[in-house]
Amino acid sequence: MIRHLSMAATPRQDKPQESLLEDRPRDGVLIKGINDHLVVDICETCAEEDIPEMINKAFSKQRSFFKNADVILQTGKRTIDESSYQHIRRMLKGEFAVRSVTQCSIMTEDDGVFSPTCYRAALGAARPRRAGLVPSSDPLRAEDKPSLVHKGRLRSGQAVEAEGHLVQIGDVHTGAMITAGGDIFVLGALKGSAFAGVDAGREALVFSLDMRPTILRIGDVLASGYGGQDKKMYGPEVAKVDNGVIVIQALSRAFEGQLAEFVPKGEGK
Amino acid sequence: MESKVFVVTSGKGGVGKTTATANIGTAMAMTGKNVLVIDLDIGLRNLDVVMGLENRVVFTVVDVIKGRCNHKKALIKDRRVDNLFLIPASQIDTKDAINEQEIRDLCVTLKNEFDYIFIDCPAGIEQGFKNAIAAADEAIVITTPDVSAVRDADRIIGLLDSESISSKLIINRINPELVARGDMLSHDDVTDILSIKLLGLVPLDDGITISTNRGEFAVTDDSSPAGRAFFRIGQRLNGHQDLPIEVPQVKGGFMKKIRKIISGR
Repeated sequence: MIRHLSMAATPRQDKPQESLLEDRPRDGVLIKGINDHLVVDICETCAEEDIPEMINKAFSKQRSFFKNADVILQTGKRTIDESSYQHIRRMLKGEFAVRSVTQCSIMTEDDGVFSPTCYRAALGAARPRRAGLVPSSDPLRAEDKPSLVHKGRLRSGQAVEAEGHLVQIGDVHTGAMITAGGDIFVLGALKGSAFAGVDAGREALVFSLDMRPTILRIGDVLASGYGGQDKKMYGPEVAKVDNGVIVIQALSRAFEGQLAEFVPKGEGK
Repeated sequence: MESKVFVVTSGKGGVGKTTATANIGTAMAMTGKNVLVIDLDIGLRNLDVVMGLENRVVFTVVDVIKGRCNHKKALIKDRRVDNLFLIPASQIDTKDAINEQEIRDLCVTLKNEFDYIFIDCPAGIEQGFKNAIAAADEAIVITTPDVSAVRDADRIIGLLDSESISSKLIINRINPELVARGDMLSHDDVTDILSIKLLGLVPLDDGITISTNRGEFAVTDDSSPAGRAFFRIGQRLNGHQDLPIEVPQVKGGFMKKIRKIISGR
């Protein structure tokens, strides 16, 4: 019983690249969304030492929004020197948890005339799988792919596969296999094998009401499961990749500060 | 009464499918029902031996399906128990000699003549398994309290589910001493893992080895604990669903307790 969802092809609406050069900021920074990327347009005339502060201010307004974003620093007709670029990069990654930071300056183009190749290069560097701004048949991200809700107990030898996220309602027995491009939520016991983040990679998470998997894989990280036969209930738990290893935490720990008090506070493992 | 086809299956080999088929079939025949057991373990037939009918096999289930004989000719009537019949498997063919539709057609004919039909399923999940479950109304899944047998039973239940065949569980060869010591899965553990309805618990019993080798039925022997368990399973299938399930106990456990009390621990 293998359920396989065909990928719903939803073409993205790409903006014409030329519009990037319009309304450049006269002061401060301007944040625009281009495709999956956030382009941080930095004013050309302001002092270089003020730039980190300006970016910090702009990003602080909507902290959570920038998590996992791919950021391109558009510096216009100038380049900022390597040390301040690195400083900005550290700040964005550390404080706002963005996924990648790339620099792009118009000066890299002939005659200072903007052409999309700069962005294309930047986009390519930011995420090698992406060809650039040109609409393409790129694989979609896990969150854009169809999610699957599967109801029913999965017994040994049965498998369910989702292109996007997977919600499995019912136990997953030893010997059963669940796979998802993104996150996996098991509303039941997870005793079989789970592979989350086929596309999303290490960003994916696995949730289960009773976490005792045989094998757990998130992105390229593999963990041999807990598989305990003990009767102790640990309650809802979340598996994530932390520093290159899979860690399992109580739900209340894994989403600290994002859950109401009614969630039972289990002990993190 | 609507007649019913049960398939006795397990996935793993050697857990007691054939013994269970013979004994449950006999148990139901003893209560006056018209019972047929069919061996579908084609190429590795055993049911005739276990039932002590080996020397009476002339025509087999493959002969019936291929039209080489009428099904009445292949029926072997047991002389010890009334209303108990066997259609043996062929030893010279393979599982691919017949297909699902042929079994379905055969069972439609046979249902007119019998109250209960038990199909002894081969081990594995290949063609032989598909043939065996093709005509089944209900499945009896046999497992032992071993992790590997339980795993295979889980797989089998999944396959039966996808064919919309409901299954009931028999846990065979329970060794109460090992369970008490915590060295064997208890019946609670097994039902927890498999989460299906329990039909009966059969204790480990050396008498079964002896009776199957001799071609006798354990159910007809009142002194055999496993035989008594199979008899109760037969009664449960026969409409006495509420017959309580007895949990195999450690031998002499009661006397030990008494002694403990007398000696003041």
